[in-house]
Amino acid sequence: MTRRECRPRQSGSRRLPFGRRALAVHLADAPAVAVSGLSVTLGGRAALTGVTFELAAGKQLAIVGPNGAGKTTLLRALAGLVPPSGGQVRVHGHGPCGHICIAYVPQKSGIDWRFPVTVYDVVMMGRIQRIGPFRRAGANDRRIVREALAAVELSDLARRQIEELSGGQQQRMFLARALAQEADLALLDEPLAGLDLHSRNEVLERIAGLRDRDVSAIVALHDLGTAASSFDEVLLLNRRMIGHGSAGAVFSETNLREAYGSCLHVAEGESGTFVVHDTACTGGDDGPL
Amino acid sequence: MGLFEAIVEPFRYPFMVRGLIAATSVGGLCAVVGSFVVLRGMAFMGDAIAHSILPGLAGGVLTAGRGDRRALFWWALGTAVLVALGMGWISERGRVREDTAIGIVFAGMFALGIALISTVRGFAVDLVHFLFGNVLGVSNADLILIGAFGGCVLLLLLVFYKELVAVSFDPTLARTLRLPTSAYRYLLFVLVAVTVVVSLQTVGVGLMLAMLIVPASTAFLLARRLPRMMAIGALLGVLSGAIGLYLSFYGSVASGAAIVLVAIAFFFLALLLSPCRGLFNRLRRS
Amino acid sequence: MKKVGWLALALIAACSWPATSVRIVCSTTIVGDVVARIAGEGNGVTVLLPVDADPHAFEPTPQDLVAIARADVVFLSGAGLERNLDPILGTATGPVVSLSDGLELLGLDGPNHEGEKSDEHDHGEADPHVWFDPTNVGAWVDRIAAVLSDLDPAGEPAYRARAAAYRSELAELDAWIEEEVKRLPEERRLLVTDHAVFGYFAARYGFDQIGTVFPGLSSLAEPSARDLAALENAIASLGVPVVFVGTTVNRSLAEQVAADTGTEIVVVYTGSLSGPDGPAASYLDLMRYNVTAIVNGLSEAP
Repeated sequence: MTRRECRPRQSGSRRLPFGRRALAVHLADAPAVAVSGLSVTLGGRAALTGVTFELAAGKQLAIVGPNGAGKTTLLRALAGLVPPSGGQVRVHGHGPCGHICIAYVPQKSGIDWRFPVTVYDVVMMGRIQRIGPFRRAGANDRRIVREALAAVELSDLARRQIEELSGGQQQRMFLARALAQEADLALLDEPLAGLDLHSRNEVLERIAGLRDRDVSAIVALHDLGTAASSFDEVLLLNRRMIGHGSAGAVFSETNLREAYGSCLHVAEGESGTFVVHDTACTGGDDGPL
Repeated sequence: MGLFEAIVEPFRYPFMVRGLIAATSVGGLCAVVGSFVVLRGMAFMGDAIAHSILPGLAGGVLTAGRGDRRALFWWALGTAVLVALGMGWISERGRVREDTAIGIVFAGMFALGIALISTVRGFAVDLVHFLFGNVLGVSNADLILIGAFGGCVLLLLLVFYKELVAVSFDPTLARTLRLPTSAYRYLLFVLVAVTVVVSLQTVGVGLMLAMLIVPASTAFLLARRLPRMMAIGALLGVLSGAIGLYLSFYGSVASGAAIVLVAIAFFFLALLLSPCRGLFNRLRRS
Repeated sequence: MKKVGWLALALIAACSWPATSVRIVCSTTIVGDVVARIAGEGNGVTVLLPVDADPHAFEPTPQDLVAIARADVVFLSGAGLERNLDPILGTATGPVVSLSDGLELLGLDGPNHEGEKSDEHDHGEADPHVWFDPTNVGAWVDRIAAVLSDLDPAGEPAYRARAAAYRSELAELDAWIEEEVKRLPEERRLLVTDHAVFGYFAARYGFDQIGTVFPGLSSLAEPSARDLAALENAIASLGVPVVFVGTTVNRSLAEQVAADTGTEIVVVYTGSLSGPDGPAASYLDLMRYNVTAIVNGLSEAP
């Protein structure tokens, strides 16, 4: 049976009255995310094989790996945008398709930044399914959007057209949208790419702030140091899962060598975690990361 | 002649009254629909649809004869809806870009139409002219047509506004939110196609093309938010229609051309003077 | 006696059957009809424009190119009517005869001296609708007979004979039209049409073209609101009861003008004959039909 990506009325959902899009019911004792044996084939190529892990509600996971490791593919499979060719994905006990509580922020958003929408408008878009078809935004929706903007400290930029935002402000806007969506799971693909240090810290703070709202987060990152220091768990990926767990356990020399093909050491220092690339190490590629 | 008489004088002629209603209705409708067209980069969809309906017109002529404009209109409308769905289907899933899909369907359908017509020789150009209207020649039935179809299009745009905007602006978000993204895309294509056919039947192809693109583009330079862009566009469309008709009446200029030129003049004014995106202010700021 | 009999038979045969078959291509159905009357049976006459096609807007097809290339002679109405055919006339191997050459052409405002462009006398384009004056068609007939005789000398007597016969029919038509027109008082001889087709008719029979829906001599021009307002004023003030429209032009604009001024739409045949079953299947029928329609239409009270 070929699996298709999300269509209405996927299994695990039930119809609400007045034809509103069905909302999957979260199973009480299911973890936020449970992936077992997930494989994804894209364009004839195996992009992911045999990925298995769980994430408890409210926790934050960083996915790291070299380019082409399948980080984006994994996030898209969790979001329900790409069908698995094997294994299964469960979000709060059901397949992703019935949920509207998953927020996905892609790497290159492909958005036309000249589109005449303000920050407020974009955040409000997160609420489309909560408002439902044939209805307009109400007072409650407006309140939620204002609160979301406040949570990421974008309230004074709410009326700006999105072209005027900096990179960091753009990422915070998408986080606000996830909050307005009342998402329980946020999937972020390289949210720190291209940001200066100040903006990176701002965004990381907001991501951490998701914990207060019981939103689970899975974030694809390049920087091993950030992964180690800012996240509860890490998952090391290179088309297949190499390791999952705490950073100290996963970032072993063997694992890193397997993933990156050269020698990397992750060390704790006074000023924070840092990664050392041991070019004298034998048994791996000599190329840079 | 005093100013008041000058304003009122044209309305002694019923064709001016009808023309004004038609020009302003089409101007307003096309500007609102045209906002989506301009923002999605589908600017040549108007021309594409106008050409793609040729096979439908050939079918209409072969069955109903050339004199029956009503029959030709329904054939054109039906063909346009099918064409819109075809364009949507080809560009589904992003395997082919939307503008490419539009171009492919345009070329294919136009060629098919010519092929069909070559069996009924010699008509090629005449055929399409028999559908194209003229803003000075609209009948009361045409006004009802524009009111009915225009009203439906605007109603659907209003009802599904937030979904259509999401699908146009961020399709990935739409899919993540489990909106029936394809359905909304098809709906948008069909709404544009219906607007195009009804407008060109009423006011002709040149005016329809201009009203679909120019007021919305002008409004884009002047507005930061989409609802305001649509409102400004509609206002500009209505003004262009009215002013153009007055020019045609007092200046003896062909009416369609006059309306288009007024709309273009508004565009250049906005291009130069717009507070955010205008050229003067850009130069001043830098 | 028998020899004389056979000789007579041979002579008759020579007179009635042309010796060779001439391939003739004509542009409009009107030209085709007149040429066919002179050319007679046995010569192939192909007409490029189908019935009800608009000569001002006609676009030639590859089939037309082939027909022209194969033709021994191409007859056009001329005076700018078949401008759209100009690009492909280069493929013609035989003579291309523009029948209106040498005729006294009219412009929009009066006699047109095309070729003599001076500032005062330049009235712009010439009116190509020469066939509405039967005397012009008479000139066509002579020209056609001459050209066909050049190409097919053996058939000359037959061509001349048919030309003479047709000319007498044209003279009959002319006289008949004069009689019919006399039934209309002078103040009623006002023509409002979709585009300016009746210039030569008006000049010969004492009518006045007071206005057109599409300005000028072509169906492709677009009227301004002022043009239409002026037309409606003219119709109202002169009490014109009828607007005449042709079969080749989109008539919705004319219909609106008629509805607004309370006049009637009457269909006449302008650029094309009707089909063979229609009331204007030949040039003579076309003129008779049009004149009847004009006289009857204008006799009505506005």
